[in-house]
Amino acid sequence: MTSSPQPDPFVALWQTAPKPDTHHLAHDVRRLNQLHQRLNRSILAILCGIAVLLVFEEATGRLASHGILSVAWTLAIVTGVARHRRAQCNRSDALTLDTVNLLKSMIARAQKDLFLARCLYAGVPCGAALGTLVIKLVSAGSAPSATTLHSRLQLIQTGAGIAALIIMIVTGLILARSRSRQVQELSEKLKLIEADL
Amino acid sequence: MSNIAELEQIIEVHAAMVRRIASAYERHPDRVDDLAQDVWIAVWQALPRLNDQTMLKSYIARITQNICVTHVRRALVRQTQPLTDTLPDRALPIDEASAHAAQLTRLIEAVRNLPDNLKAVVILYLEEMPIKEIAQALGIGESNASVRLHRAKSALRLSLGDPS
Repeated sequence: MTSSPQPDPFVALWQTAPKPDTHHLAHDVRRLNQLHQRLNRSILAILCGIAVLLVFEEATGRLASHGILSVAWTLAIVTGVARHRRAQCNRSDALTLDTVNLLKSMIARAQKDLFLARCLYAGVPCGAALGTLVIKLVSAGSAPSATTLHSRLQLIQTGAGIAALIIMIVTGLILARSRSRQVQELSEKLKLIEADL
Repeated sequence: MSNIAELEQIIEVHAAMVRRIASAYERHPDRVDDLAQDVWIAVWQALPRLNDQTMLKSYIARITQNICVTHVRRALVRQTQPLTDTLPDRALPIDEASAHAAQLTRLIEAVRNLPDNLKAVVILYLEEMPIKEIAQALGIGESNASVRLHRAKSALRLSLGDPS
């Protein structure tokens, strides 16, 4: 079947498809790659610039965060770069996988996203409710403080917190819906491919 | 792989294959071009990992297949114009060339309409890859690949008749 002496008419017909114009393709590929790298470098330069600015502001005492902010920012950049590099390597590995393993890796990624989405829409409100409960329990035992002075500020904080919570829940629900559909579809495809013929 | 001349050479040899595979997954010619460009960027990045240069064709075919599979998963179901960029072969007379182009378009359409598990096998077969390499690229057994290929060819014959 593989090396049949007579050429298959389908193969012969398929091979006659017109050849694409490749004259500029290599240069386009190189240009796109360069643009992509330039964008990455620009983003990194901006993030590093902000880090330098933070360090400067903290060193001159204009920002009273005692170096915590700049350290956190720098750590976030380093972590981000490391994760980006890892993701690039993973993507490159995934390209050369066979189809079954590619589907498996896609299912694993979708399941991970589904878990994160569930954390967003179920975990976050539960955590918030638990936190509120704990704070109420703790504050019930202690003497009333001067919080009444900042009642407006508290109201704004509560409002912002609730808004953030709602956004997280809605985002989580949307993400979970799409990811669960993706997991289901991919699993069906994988089942179909792995089916014993 | 930083040498652009080397990439140009590889593109020159395998561009037609990449485009044929992409056009079996995507109808819209512009999106086929975009897919091909994505493939070549990925090939450029992934090429240093290739140890055996004799496997270059199946390596590129596998990358193309994976990118197309990922593209199809992401894309919404689109009802667009059928592939219209299959130009007639200049070596053939006009009538014969247009008949040939129509037959080729029908073949591409028939391949595109195959179920995914058959489509993947038949595309690699049409790219003249041996059954062993097809099985490796898809992560299935050789006998499994053979059965699928047989089914895919039967389905093609059913919808096209015998092209010879």
